[in-house]
Amino acid sequence: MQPEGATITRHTSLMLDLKNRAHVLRFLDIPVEESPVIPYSKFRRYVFGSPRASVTLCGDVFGPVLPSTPVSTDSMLSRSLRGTEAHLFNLATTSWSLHYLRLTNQLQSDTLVSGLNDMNVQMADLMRLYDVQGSFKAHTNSKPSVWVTAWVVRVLGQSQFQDWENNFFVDRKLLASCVRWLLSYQNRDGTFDETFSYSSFPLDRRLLIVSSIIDLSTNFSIFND
Amino acid sequence: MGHTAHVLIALSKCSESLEGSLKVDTATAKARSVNYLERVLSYLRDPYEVAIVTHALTLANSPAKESAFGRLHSLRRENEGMVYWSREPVASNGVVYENQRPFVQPRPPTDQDAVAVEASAYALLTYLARDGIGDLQERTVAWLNTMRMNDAGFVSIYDTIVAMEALTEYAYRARLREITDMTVLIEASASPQASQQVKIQSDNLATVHTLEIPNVWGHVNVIGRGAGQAVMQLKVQYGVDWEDLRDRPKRPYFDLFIDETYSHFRNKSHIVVEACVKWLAIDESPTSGAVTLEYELPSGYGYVQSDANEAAKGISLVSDVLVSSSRVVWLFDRLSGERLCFRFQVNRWYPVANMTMYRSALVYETNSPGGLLNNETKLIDGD
Repeated sequence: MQPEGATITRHTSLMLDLKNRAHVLRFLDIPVEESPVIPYSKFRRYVFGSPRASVTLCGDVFGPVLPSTPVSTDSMLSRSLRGTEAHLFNLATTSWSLHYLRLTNQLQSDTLVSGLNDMNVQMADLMRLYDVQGSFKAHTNSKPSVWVTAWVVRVLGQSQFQDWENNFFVDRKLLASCVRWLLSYQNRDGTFDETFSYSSFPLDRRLLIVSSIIDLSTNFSIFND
Repeated sequence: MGHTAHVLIALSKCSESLEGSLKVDTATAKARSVNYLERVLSYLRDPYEVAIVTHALTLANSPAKESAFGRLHSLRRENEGMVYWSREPVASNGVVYENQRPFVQPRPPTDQDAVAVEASAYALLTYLARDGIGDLQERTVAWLNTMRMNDAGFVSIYDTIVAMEALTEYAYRARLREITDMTVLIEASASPQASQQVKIQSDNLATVHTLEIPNVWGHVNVIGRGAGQAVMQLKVQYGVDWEDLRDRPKRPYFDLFIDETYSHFRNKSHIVVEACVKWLAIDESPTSGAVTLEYELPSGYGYVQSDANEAAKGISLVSDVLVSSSRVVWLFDRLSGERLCFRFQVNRWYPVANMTMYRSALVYETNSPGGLLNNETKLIDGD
């Protein structure tokens, strides 16, 4: 059952730090009134019966580890997504959760096996968007992208660990073909280009904004000189 | 620059898996990129770019990493004892004093949150690789943990991945597990029956304790004793049916129009949905980045994924579509200032008493620097 109306989310997150003191007291405000009725007003503060609130507490600084099995963008980010970014996100967050548990000596073998199994499933989903040339694309109907492929290479490169190779193994040939494809987009000055389809309209607009800031600052400093 | 640094990080992360001549080619390419980044380093002004470039240069062990680090260090921002990197100052949780008690408010989202989290995570990784654990690192971790907009995730997709990497590295070095032994008492002022005492010890460190609050008003008291660190989060959700009460971004980014036409026959079992979207911030950029449009299905109605796939082929710019149990999610590579309209038909599967008056549809940039903040939400008036 979903509450009615457009959902508004308010999130308070903080660290309880008891590293160098013995007592910590915090008061967290719930930003909802007891009654949605505003006297003499036509509208209500919220739909009757719609508010939900929950408190989550977990040790250490990593936050909730593996909030659902398998991990999904719905459980981690409250978003429904599909395509490379979603599969890559699930794979990366599972692998970092496992790395976290491993490095802090908390990893149980059943968690490890189910986690690696989920990573294999994500990997299979991811390979649907792979092109034999060595590129990945963001979605079924998208064009190959250097940005997306670099993210895939980065996440897959970091998800490998020697002890896990019997359960989760990234084919060297896959990484090699991706790297070869990436290298073909390098210019002589060392910069990397984006593919033609996304060079002026990147999937992540923050890259575009930044380059324009840089153009300005570069021009400005030349002007000053 | 950010793009080149990003590809350089990717190449550094997988260079161990490469063999033969490709390994040599990759090393050459990496050296060339490092060379380029060293050259442009002195022109960099943007904290996000400085953070990602410094991280890339540190990974590549370039001699310029020290000057990059100096630049990164001078660009840090401080707020209430916490340290972060961001293009714009990020406001921390507000505090309201009532009866001498400081009540922590939810953090107000800003339109650069995802960039700030990603930049700070890169910076934290650089500091950890250089100096290990220190006071500044602790304060960055404290800041990162105030930035969660979801129980497990941060703001958006890629900043969550980088933040998890940085926090893993930190937790590995901080070795807090051995000393952790804390007792936390959680009380909700309006639901005394729901209060709970939680013990966090080294053997249950990763266990997530969740407490549902039945009466959603008042406040939550948290009393912690013992030693260690813990992340504490309060999530509150409510539904509104009044357009003026929904969150609005600083400026409109999208124009969204949804119209539903119910069939005149068979008890309104077919709904033809017409959706129109348009990118409004053409002064910032002529087109948007990748865009997600979520349409909430009325209860009892459904849409088949294979039908959706067929429909998606006929619409320009639609890159993918996902049908989940409660919503249809359309994904676009980009939207321009030109209005894009398309139709799809959802059908009734189960007879339910449709009491829902309002549902929502929202559109946002998938990789928006502000996460979900820059969205456009429409309330759909169900007939």
